[in-house]
Amino acid sequence: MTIAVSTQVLDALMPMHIVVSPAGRIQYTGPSLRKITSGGALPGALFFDVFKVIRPFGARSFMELYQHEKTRVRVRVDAGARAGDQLTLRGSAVRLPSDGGMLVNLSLGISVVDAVHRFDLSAADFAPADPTIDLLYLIEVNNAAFGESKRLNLRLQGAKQQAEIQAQTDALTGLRNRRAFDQELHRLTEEEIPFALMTVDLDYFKEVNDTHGHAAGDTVLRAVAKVLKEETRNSDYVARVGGDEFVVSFEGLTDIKQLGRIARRIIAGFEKPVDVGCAQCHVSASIGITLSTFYEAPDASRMMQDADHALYHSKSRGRARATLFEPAIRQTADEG
Amino acid sequence: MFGLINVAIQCFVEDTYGRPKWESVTREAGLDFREFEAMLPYPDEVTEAVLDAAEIVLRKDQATIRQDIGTYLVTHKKMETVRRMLRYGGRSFEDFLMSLDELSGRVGLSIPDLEVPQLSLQPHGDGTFCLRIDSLRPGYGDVMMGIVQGLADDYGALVLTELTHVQEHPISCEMIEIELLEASFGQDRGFNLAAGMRPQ
Repeated sequence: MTIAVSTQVLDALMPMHIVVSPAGRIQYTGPSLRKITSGGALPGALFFDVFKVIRPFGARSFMELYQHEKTRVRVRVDAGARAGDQLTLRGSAVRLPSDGGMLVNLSLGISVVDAVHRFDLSAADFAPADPTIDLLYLIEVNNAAFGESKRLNLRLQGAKQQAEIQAQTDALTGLRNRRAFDQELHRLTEEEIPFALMTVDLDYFKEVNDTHGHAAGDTVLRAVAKVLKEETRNSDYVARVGGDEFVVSFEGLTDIKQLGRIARRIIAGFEKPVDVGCAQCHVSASIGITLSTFYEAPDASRMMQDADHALYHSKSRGRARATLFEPAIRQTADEG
Repeated sequence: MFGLINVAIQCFVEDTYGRPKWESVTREAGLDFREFEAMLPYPDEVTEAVLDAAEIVLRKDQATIRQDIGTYLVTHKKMETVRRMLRYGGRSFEDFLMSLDELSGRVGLSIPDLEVPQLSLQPHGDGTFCLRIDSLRPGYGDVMMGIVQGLADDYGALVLTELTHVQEHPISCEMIEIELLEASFGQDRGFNLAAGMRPQ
């Protein structure tokens, strides 16, 4: 069947078409293509002057395109105000049996977003059967949804960081962290409540990490954290303040004998072997203790320092023991 | 209910009545937060509680509030994306009406979590149309009244709309009669395809 169609009909069905004469001259250009080529594809111009054929590869004359009744084509064309602005278009070329000329229909393909921008195209520039407008719609909605997701992620990220800063808990052991402990010490000194401060340092922990790895080290830390919780009262405040450093505050407890018993139980608990799957780990604890009643005006950081001095004294005397702070210890440390 | 819908309600209340009113609405609804997240899901009861609370705080009936939300969605600057999504429907108001059949599918392609009622338009041939809205819950009819009126203004068309039929069970079916009195009554606000392609 052969039907005669006018260029108006072609305009409506495929607004980016070109009719080319057998001599290779442009006879007619569809309205959308005229818009894009800014008048370059005018009637009378040579098709090959205006369009650089990329595919079929190397086709430079009509004879080469004419070899097939229909051919897929990809062409590059000057498009835009500035020199060098080019667009790549794709489509098909068919031989017109009537006069041996050619009908080429082109589409923007993936260049569409770029082209819509540069030439201010509207829905009217695309054929109704062309899904390009739907594609643009999708791109726009996806951009909006993606932007919203990104904003949500940023907000969640910010909230997470905020939560981490405000956290009171050590994630590994479930004990309080340094921040929480500092607040507790502040409270105790502010309210002038008598209390004992104990600093606990894990002995031989480095060997566990070096020999059995960090996962084993974590298991040991969790095990000794459990010992600290078990050997203290609920009203006592237990925190992990460094890799293998723990502190305990005993509210209302300043009985030296009692504290000594607690310290011995903690050391005994720490010394129980910890099963880490393939091996058993042995650690111990060195402990330093000071009491708020030793001071006229107890100060949190001063007490921490003094408890640490006592702890170093325990270490230097062979570990696995507890030392009560006394001014002589600090003098020894200062001299050392 | 997908967060976008709750965010739309929040923005509507904030932009129309002010932030304090929105805070009153959230308190009245018993929420323990003030901000909805567009991309998170919420239980349906939350949306219902917010609308019930809005009725009390704003002293308006829910049908009016829902219709105002529809108008707000297509007229407020902050909601330009919604207006543009709908203007993709066509060059004239009538084209837009015709495109409503595809709306649920279009939205589903890009935001599958957003529940959009199934719309179908029946033209009567004399400039009047019947828009049928099928969904899992009633109330979208009022919102669509607001949207259709708002978009008519956007295209510069003059229309009359009336909610003519409401069936709530077993599933919701609502019908709106739309009478297109004049296609170019006022200024068309226009639709620039390229405007939405700029990187955000």
